[in-house]
Amino acid sequence: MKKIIISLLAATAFVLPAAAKDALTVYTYDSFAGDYGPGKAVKAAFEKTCDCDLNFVTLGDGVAMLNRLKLEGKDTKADVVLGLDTNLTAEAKATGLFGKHGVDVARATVPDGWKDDTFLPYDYGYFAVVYNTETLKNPPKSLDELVNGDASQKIVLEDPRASTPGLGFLLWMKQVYGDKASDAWKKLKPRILTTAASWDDAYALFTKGEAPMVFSYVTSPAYHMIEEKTEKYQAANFAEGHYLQIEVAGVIEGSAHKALAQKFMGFMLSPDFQDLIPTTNWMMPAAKTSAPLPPEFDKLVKPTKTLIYSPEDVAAHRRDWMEEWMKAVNG
Amino acid sequence: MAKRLPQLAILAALAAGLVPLLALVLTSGGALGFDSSIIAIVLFTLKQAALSTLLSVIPGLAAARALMHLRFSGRSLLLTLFALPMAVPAIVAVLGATALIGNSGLLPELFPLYGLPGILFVHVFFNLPMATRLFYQALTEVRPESHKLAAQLGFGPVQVFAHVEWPAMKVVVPQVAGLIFLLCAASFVVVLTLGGASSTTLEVAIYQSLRMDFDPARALALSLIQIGVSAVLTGFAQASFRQDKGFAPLRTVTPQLTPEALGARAMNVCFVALAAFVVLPLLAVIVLAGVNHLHFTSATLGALFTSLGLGLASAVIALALAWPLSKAQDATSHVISLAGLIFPPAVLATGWFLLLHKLGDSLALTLAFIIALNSLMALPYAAASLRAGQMRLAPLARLQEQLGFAGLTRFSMIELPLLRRAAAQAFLMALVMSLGDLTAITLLGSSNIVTLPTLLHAEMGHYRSADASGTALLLLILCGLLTFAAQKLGERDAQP
Repeated sequence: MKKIIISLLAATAFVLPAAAKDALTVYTYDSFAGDYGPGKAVKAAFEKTCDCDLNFVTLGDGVAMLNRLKLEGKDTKADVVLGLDTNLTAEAKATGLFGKHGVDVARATVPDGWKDDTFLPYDYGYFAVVYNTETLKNPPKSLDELVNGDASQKIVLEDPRASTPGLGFLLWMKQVYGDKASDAWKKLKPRILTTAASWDDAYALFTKGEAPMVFSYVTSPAYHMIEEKTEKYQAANFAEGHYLQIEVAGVIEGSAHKALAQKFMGFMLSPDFQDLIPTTNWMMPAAKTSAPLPPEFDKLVKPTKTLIYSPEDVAAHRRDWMEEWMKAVNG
Repeated sequence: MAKRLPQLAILAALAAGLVPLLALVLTSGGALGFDSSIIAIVLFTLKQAALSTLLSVIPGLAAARALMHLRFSGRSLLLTLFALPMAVPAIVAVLGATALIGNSGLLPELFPLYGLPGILFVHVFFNLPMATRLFYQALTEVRPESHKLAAQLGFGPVQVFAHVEWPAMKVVVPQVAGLIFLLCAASFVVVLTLGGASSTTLEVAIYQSLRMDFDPARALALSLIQIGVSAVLTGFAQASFRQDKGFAPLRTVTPQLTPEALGARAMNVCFVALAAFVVLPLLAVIVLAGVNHLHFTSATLGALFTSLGLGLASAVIALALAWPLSKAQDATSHVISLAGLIFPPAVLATGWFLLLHKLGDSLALTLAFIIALNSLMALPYAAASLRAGQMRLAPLARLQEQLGFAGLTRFSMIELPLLRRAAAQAFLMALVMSLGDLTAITLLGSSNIVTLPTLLHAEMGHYRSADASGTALLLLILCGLLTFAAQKLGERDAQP
């Protein structure tokens, strides 16, 4: 037994970075740095451009990262935080830990443009209801058709308390229905098969065939077309427009490697980074790629209208809206 | 020194649970965030957990007794299979349940999967086999003289149960019931995924308050309720199931049971069949889903070894803590041994992080964190398992004193030989629990530590749920092999 512990500890010695080079610590979420995410390629590509090491510290998701920053405060080990979304940036700014990213915002090509000099986008995606074409012949053409449609055709949602897409759907409902969101939720309730703890769980239920619809991203069908060669799963194009999620990164003001961190932010919008995004993170690139996207991306739904709340609005109202949702689905 | 071990273990477990809570109090400025919605949450948590516990413990008692009386080939295999659900990640069990009784499943009309019945089904799948194994283990500790005496007195099955079997099983009832109650009260993925938004347990509320709202005050209020309710319930259970005093011989032989009448045997078959019916189809579905997707990449193998290393380290520590705790007979040690479940893991991890993050963020420290948290969470399983064996040990105290056995001598001459089977089982349960755990590693977060459960979730997070079912199967196979080994190891001393 002792041997195992010792060998475990010994193994860690190999993984720890050599102290000689500058080391950039990037907080990110599991699925970005994990085996199937873009993390490993990003690390290799960036380390080629600098005489440095890039180390990821992974947390569950953007919310978990923000909480980690709040716990650590000024002692944070992070130089860069990658993986917040615009629903979190107001709160993140309020921690006072973030400095300027130092990159020309015109390089970011997200819908409706980018102005923030604290956070910089690295990808974006429109949320969408994804459906199984084999089991659902008449997909809803609007959020309103989803809310008022046939209750025997169910949808799997994510819980806004635990999941980023879950919060996205809540905000979408709020933006479309405003004061009447509570009524809309009550009408939608019979159509909800369940509200899963995470996107992963919801999507697995959907692909198992538990429900013909799931709340996901416009880009989800691209995965199935490219990796599984099937057009079975499609995103429904909603008339009211689609809610937008923009994923961003920021530089920690007190970082000992601030110059290197800002260099990383510039690298993030370069083709070396952006080329990886579409087929590893399955999101849309937030800047120019070196080549056009795979042709499957041309087949994806192109939302006619972008729906999004400002980060400040989300920060100010999220709690109330969440409570409104809780009451509506429990009533 | 040896005498103080129980107290030391109690102090260690208390510190592990209470210090992070204190850190949270300091962060939140000491104000507690109570409001009326908490009552509904507490009530739902209690209802769901109490029902899950009843549905696991009572059939578990019946099935364990039946398994003791029935001799059939495959009995030992069945017991091995009953060890596996513990290692199944929650979402894998949920997906398995959908394949059985979901809309896309074999028997979609059996009962509503989405809602309380579905939650209870999955909870019973996890806990009934565990309860059965623990009760069965307690029955194997019944001294053969008791059975001989019962036969001479011409006891029928009911009397044997009342005077021989129930006294043996009731020693572990509070431990097992407490364990299951806490597991179900803390259930997260199962409750959310099958219960939907209207099912909020304390655990979900604590998670939400720490995560979305970053409201340590509310988290603390909820944690205090959870700790209070859990401690009171488990303490109460312990007090109402006092162990009978008696003396025990040193020999351990498999008792020769009196053959039972046909009616009693038919009932035994029914009890075993019922337990098997809850467990085996779901296990089969999980195996079938994964069998074509078993894959051995370098990532899988790396995750396999990391899981095994972390699991072994956690199990050793859990066993070392459980040993003295299971020896002590008082309610406090019983409650303390459940500490890893009484204290919400989110609170444990957050609190410990607050206290220790200034020490650095080296991989070694993170590994130590994960091992510590996992061993604390595995402690209840190990303690429940060891306790069944300890009951044979307690009456020997006087003999030990007379012989002047103490310290290491007592350990090697008396405790180890007698507790070997229980210890093997305790170690195994702690190991299997750590292997399937995702809580510690997710809460602490690390880039370089990939275990089988985190790999499984990474696969699911990238649309690869087919690969994930292969990984789940690999985890099951690993646990099956370990269970088999532990059973062999434990049986080696069963001969006189």
